[in-house]
Amino acid sequence: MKATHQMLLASRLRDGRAVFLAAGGQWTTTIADGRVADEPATAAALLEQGRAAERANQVVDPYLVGVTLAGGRPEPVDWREQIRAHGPGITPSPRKDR
Amino acid sequence: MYRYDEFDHRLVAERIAQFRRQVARRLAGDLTEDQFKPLRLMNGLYLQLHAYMLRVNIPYGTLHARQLRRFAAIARRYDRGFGHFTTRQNIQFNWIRLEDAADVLAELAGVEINTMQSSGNCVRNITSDQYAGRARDEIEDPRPWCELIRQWSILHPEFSYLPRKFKIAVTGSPNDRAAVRVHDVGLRMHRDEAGRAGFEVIVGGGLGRAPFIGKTIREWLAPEDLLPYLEAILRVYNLGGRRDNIHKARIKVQVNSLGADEFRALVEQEFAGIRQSPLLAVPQAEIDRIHAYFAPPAWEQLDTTLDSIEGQRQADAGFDRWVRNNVVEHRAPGYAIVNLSLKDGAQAPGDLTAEQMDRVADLAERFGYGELRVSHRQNLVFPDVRIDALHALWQELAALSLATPNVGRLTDIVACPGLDFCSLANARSIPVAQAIQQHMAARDLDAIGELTINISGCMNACGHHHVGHIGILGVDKGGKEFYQLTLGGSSDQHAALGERLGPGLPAEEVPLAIEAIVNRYRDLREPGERFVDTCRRLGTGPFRDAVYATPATREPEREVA
Repeated sequence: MKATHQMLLASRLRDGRAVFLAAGGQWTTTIADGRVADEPATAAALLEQGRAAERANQVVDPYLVGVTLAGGRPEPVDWREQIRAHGPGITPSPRKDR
Repeated sequence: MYRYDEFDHRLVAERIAQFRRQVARRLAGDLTEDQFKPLRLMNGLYLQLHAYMLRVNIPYGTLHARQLRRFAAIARRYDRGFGHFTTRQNIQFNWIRLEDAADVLAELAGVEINTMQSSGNCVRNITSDQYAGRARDEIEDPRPWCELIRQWSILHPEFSYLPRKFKIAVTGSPNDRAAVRVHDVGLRMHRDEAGRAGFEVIVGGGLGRAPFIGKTIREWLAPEDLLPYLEAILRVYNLGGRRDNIHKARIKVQVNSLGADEFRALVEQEFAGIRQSPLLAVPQAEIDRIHAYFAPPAWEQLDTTLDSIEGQRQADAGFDRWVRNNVVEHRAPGYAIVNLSLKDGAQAPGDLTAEQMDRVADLAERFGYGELRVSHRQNLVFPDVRIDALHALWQELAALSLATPNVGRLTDIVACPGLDFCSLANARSIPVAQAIQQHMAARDLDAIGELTINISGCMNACGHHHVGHIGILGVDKGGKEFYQLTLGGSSDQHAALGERLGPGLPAEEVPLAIEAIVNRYRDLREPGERFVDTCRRLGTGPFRDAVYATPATREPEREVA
């Protein structure tokens, strides 16, 4: 599957959680709440925002992730980023209360 | 058990205080990630795909119930209720918050556990035989020597910035359960002609992207020369190992480019000089003190044998099977060594929940002296179980899903965390292990016999795939996971690297390939012949035919690295 859109993914500094940059400039662990860029200029702006957040010590290692929008829901193309977005795909699933 | 002395306590306390301040400075923005990363790694804290991961040293795999209970408390309070035992006899917590990390270290320090040198280019946790001090085939308990090496190598000023990480393993037994031939330095205890126990010194073994079986550079080394000789090896490596290329920086590359003879000559030259100095001449009183920490418990005088519980075994086939596969003879009459399988097929290999940890800690006290071991095959061991208590223990373990009778069997799979957790991984390991376990669960595993499967999710080989009887390496080809199989490897006293079978397979075909290999083995084996011996006798050819007989979605051949 080829990516049609891009999102910005990073690790949150204080707890290391995988977080997406959201529309309001905040960071979210829920991919559905993340901001989706549909053209290169918007994606570049997302990346610049991520780097600023990195300099401000909110996140570590921000990078753009290719996604598709099947049914309007963003989903990363690569396995690795799908696993980052949804957590480990192992059974039984680790408790998510922390 | 080892004990912290006043120096250990002070050292660890100071280190935690330093780390607490470093974390605060990082969170406040006074340190950049580039500045902070080496500091957190020095304390075993990695940043993985979902969270920070803390790698905790379990020195030579020896653990006390009170320490396991502390792991349970940490898993509950600071993690998601479980921990993962690794191929280096360590435990990893996968969901630690940076803001909690120093508190976790303090909790660990309270039970004499630390994370120093569990990462970074330094001497890592010393590993050993999980049956150390209890095995019937043992010459001497290797752990006092492991402890001596631990004390020497912790914060050794000369060896804190090696070209790359450095792993040392020690076995006190001719039947190598510590994989000493695939370590940077492996030490194998044996007796010289006068009957004195010393060490064969093996250097330059290792797995990863360039796997090597180690070379023996000393047939026999006197115990009093152990630290001077190790110091000489590390110095030769530290000065001559490559720092220009991370993939060529391990000692195995140096040993293999110089050749074992030249490397040996350099070491012997350094050794001659170091030996002149009294600095590393450890007083006998100190050696005796360390040995006393590992003195066996006061075993009772018993005469029960595994044969004398024949009645119980005949009455219960499940118990009998567990005894045959998971219970090992003990050096003391009336006792047995018990393996707890962490491979029930439902949980990830090597995982233990906080609830299981607490219960296992209770059982370690009830059915022993509170001591446990972690094996490099990601299982746990109770070292001192009375044979007449085996049946009761088996029932308790079964209730915890820890009595799967598969130790050394096909479903006793070693697997790294893989792409489900690890930022280095290219492919997933855990689901592949679980798919094989489920696919093969209905087979008569005892009829298949001894067979080890090792899975790594990338070339770094944390799952030791090169030395599995069947090795499985996950690779990423064009965004899709493929799995390359190797056959014939082992990490025992006949250590060998597995031979690649052919192009990689998609994940869903791996269990079918394992089944095809096993079926072919059963057709071809001589009476009593183990899988690995059949592989070595016949080569990979017959197995390749079995696996690739049916066309399927193969990894593109030309892209194979």
